[in-house]
Amino acid sequence: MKKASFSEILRVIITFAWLLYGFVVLYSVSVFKTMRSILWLMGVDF
Amino acid sequence: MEGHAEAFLYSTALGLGLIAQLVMLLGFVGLFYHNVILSLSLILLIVAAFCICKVCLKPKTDLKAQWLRQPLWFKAVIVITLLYIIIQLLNCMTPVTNGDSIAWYLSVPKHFLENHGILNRQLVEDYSSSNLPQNLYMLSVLGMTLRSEILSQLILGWLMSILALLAIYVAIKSFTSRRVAFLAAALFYTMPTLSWLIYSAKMDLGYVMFELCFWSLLLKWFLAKEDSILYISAIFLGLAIGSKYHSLLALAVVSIGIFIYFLANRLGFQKAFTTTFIFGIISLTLGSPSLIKNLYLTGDPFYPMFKGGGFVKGEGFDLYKSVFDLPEFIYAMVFGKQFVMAPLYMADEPLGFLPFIFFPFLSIRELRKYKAIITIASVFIILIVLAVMFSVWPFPRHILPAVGLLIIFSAVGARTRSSLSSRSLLGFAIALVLLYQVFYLAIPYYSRDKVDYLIGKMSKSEYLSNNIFDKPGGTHINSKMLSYVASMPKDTRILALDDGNGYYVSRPFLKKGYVYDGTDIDSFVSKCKQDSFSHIYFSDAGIAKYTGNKNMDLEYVILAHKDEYLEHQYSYGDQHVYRIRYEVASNE
Repeated sequence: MKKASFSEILRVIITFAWLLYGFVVLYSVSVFKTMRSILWLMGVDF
Repeated sequence: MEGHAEAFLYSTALGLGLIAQLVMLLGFVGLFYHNVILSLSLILLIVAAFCICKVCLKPKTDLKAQWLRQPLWFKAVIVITLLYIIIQLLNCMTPVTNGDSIAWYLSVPKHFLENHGILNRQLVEDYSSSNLPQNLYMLSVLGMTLRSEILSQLILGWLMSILALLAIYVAIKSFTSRRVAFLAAALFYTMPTLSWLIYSAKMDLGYVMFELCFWSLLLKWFLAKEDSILYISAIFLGLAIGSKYHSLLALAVVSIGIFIYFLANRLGFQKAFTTTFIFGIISLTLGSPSLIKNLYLTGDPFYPMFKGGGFVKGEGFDLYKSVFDLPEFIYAMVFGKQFVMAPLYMADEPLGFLPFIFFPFLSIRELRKYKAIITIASVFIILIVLAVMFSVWPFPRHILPAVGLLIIFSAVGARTRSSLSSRSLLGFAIALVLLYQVFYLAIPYYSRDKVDYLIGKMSKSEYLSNNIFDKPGGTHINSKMLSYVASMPKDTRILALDDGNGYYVSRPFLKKGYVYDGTDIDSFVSKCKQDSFSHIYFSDAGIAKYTGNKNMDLEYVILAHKDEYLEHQYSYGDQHVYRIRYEVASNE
C-alpha cells in the first residue's frame, strides 16, 4: 500500500481541525439542547 | 444524456420551467380559473406520460452491487441523507407555517387566483413582491389550484431541493468520482440554511435549482465544447432569470466571460459574437415574460429591484459597509456568529462548516485544467458575494448559487482519493458530524401535532390553530380574530402594524413600510387613505417584537395618536382591530 505523503497528512489534519472548530463554534451551545431533545423523544422529560 | 440522474434532473427542471411559462400565459390573458389550469395540467400530464413511455427506465447499473462496493462511512452518508430527505418530505406535507411564505410568497399567488390573472394594478400597489419574477409564483398557483398551498410547498421547497441536490451531483460527476459527487451534494443539501428553505414555499430553492442546472450544463459545455449544450444551458439561465433577478448577474458575467474565452482561443470575432449573442438572447427570452409584465404594469421591467430595500431596510441587518468587512461577512455566513462565538442578529440560518471540507485537498494542478471556467465562475462568486454583503439582506440564502459553485469546484479540484478511501477515518468523522447536523436540524421540526396531522388524526384547521394562529407567544392573527375579520364587510382593507401574514386572512391584510415613518401623523393617515385602508390591526406581542428590538430603532406614529385617530372595533387576547377615523383628519 502506498504510504501517505506529508502533504496528504497535513491536509487531513487541517480538515479535522476545521471539523472540530466548526462543530465547537456552531454546535457546542446546542449539544446540551440536542441531547435533551433526544431524551425527550425517548420519553424522558426533565 | 449520460445517465438517469442527468435525464431526470434536466427533464424535470425543464418541465417545471415550461409549466411555469404556460401557467403565466394563462395569467396574462386572465384565465386563472380552476378548470382551465386543471385542463392544462391534464394535457401536460398526458404529454409527459407519452414521453416517459418512450424512455427506457431500466437502470443501466446494478444498484445492489454498487451499494455493496461502497465503504461503510459512505453508506452511512447515503442513509443519513435519505433519512433527512424523508423527514423534510414529511415536514412539507404539513400545512405551511413559514412566516415569509404566508406573508408574501403564498399571498401573492392567492391574490392572482382571486383576480383570475396576473395583471392587476391594485396588487402592484399592495405587494411590491407581486412584481418579482413570476416563474415560481406560477408553480405556486399550480399547486394551489391542483390541491392546496401544501402542494405549492412540496414543489417550491422539497422538489426544488432534490433537484438542486441532483444539479450539484451531476455537475461534479462529470469531473470526478460519484462518491465525491454524492458527498458534496449531500453536504449542500444538509446545510442549515437549506433546512428551513425546504420546509417553506419560498422562492430561493427554485431559483438556485435553475441556476445550478445552468452552471452544471455550462461545465458540460466546457468539457464537450458543443454549442448546443451552451444554448441548452441558456434555457435554464433564462428560467432562473424568470425566478429571481439575481440571475441577471450570472448572465452578465458568463456572457462577457465566454466572449473573452472565445477570443482568447482564437475563435473569429464574428463566431464569438454570434455564439454569445444567441446564448444571451435565449436566456433573456426565457426570462422576459416577467420583465414584460412589469414593463406593462409599472414602466420598469426590473421593478422593484431598484426601488428600495423593503421593510428589512432599517431593521438592523445592513451591517457591512466596506470591502474590509468581507472576512467578518464570510464568517457570519458560515457560522451565523460574530468571531469567535458572539451572537449575531441574522434573519437566516448559517451555511455551516461541512460544505467547505474539500478546500484543504485542493490541488492547483487539478484546477489549472479548468482555469477558464473557474475564472468566469470566480468573478461571478466574488460579485454576488459583494452584492449581497452590501445589500440590506446580507443573508446566506442569497449567496446559495455561489456556495453551490464553491462546493462544485472544491470537489472537482480536490485530491481526496486516499483521504476518503474505504477505511478513511476522515470519512467516518464526516458521517458522524453529518448525523449530528441532521439530528440538530430535524428535531426542532418534530411535534406530536405533525404526526397526528400526517396520520389523519388532526384536521388542518386544528393544526394551524395549534401551530400558528393560537400558538402561545405567537404573533400571527389568532383564530377568533380571523373569524371576526371574515365577518367584516367585503371592501375592508386592513393595515397590519406588525407582521402582516395575510395568506390565511380572508381580507386584504398588508404591511406597508410607512408604518414606521417618522412622527408625522398627517402624512401617515394620508398614505393610509391613499391605499384605501379602512382598518388597522396590531398585537401587543407583535409591536413589542419591533419596538423592543435593540437592533431596530422603530416607532409607530399611529400608536402615539391612537385615541384620536382610531376607533376600537374588536379585541381578542392581545390582538386589536381599529377603524381609521378619516373624518378626524379631514376636520382638521
